[in-house]
Amino acid sequence: MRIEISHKFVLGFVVVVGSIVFLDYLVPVLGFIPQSMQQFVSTLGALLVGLVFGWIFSKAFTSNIGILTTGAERLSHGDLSRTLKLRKGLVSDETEDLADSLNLVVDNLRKVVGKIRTTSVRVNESSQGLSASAEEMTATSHEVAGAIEQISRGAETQAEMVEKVSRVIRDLAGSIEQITASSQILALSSAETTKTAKDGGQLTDTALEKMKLVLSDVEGNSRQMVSFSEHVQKIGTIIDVITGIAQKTNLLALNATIEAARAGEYGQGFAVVAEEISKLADSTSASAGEITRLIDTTRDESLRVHQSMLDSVRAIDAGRGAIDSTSGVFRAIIEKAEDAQGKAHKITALTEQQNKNATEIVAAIEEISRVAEDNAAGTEQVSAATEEQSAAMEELTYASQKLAQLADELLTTVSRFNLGSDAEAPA
Amino acid sequence: MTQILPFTLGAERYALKLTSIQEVVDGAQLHYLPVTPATFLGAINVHGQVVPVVDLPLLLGFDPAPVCQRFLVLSPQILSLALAVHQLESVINVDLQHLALMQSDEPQNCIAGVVHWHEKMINLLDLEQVGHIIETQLK
Repeated sequence: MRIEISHKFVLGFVVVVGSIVFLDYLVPVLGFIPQSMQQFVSTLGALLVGLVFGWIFSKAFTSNIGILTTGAERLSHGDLSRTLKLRKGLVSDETEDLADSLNLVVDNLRKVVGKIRTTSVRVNESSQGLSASAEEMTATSHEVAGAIEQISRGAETQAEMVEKVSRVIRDLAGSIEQITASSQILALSSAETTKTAKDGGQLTDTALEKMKLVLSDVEGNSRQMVSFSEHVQKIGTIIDVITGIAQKTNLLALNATIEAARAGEYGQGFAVVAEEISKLADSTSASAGEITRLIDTTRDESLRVHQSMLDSVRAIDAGRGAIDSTSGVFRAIIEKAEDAQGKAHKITALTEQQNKNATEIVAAIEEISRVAEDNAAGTEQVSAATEEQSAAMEELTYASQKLAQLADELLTTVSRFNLGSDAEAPA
Repeated sequence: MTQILPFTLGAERYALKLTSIQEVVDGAQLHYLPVTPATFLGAINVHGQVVPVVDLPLLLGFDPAPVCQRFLVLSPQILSLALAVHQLESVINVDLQHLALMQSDEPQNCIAGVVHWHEKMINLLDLEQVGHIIETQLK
């Protein structure tokens, strides 16, 4: 049964006033109390009732209030370990509501503080983790900064190398152009060689024909020389005859002289004639001998001429062989020169292609150079960003340390609340 | 002046008077004469008469050089012989009054005298001694 406090007070007053009124009626009825005493007894009785009720009421009231006060004091000291327990009266009133409300407050506070404690511990842990991570990240970003610096240096080296490669390729392109020019000159030269070799071939052919003509002339001359030798031989024979006749004439003249001498005076004139005949015969003999000597000389010379003609024929034959060989050599030269011309043309075409390729390579190298420069710029930006990041990381580290500190402070603050054994989860 | 016909025997020059020669024959065929000394080359036919041919260089002890094909046929009044010599020369006219005669105590040298002709010395052959030598050989 529930009676509110105000109603309790009203009820008490009603009970006290009623008891006074009742006692007023009761005492005279009782009879054994003198008249004079009756007033007194009723008053006394009323006072007693009032005292009894008042004591009971105040007792019940103050005890609950005391419990509540104690509970509120505990609460004010942060003790959330216990709940309020009121003594159960016959009738309940607002103090129980108050106690319930306080218990609810304690309960909620305990939950909240427990939550805060757990959370702040976690925040602490997390912020420490965060701090560690931030330090790691700082270290990492330092490493990244170092790596970026290396990359930056690498990019510079790359740029230098690209520049070098570019120069080399330009030189190469220049060389290729020179090769192109040279191979064009080579092609022209080999064309000239071909032409010259063809001219040479024609000349050797002409020389061969002339050589054949000379050979046939020499052979004709040789035949003529043989015929001439035969004629000279015939002359020799004739001269032999003449010589024989001259000798015979000489002998006749001699015998005529002998006869004339034997005839003495009569043979004088005959002796003169015989002497003249002898002189003629001697002269004839001398001339014939001269002719014979000339014939011998001529024969020797014609033999030598014949021999030298034979030598000439052999030499011309050898020359013909040599010219034939030369002609073959010229044909080989023409072939080689034409081959060389074709190859030179090929080289020209290839070097032109190479030249084009080299130009493309130069363009590509320039593109690479631009990209490398962009890379270097990008790397510098990245480096700057990394430094910023590094600074931010340090700030983050500082902030996370600060956060851990705050979480510690919060934990310290919250640890004023005693939550009892059921909520002693965090360490 | 006398006409003589010089000829050579080895390096020496000899000669005969033209009047002691009948004829000079050329290329006459030599016929072998059996049982005759080595100085007899053979015999030739001169106008129907057989005349023996004597190798004069061999007879007089000169080098046996090849003899000339012309033989000197001597006058039959002097010697019926033909002489083979090394080489015949042309007839010359000499003055035999300047003939240097050989000493008579050495008749075996067959030289009747020496004639100087253009600073050359020509021995005149002594046919009588030659005939004696041949007769001596034939005995």
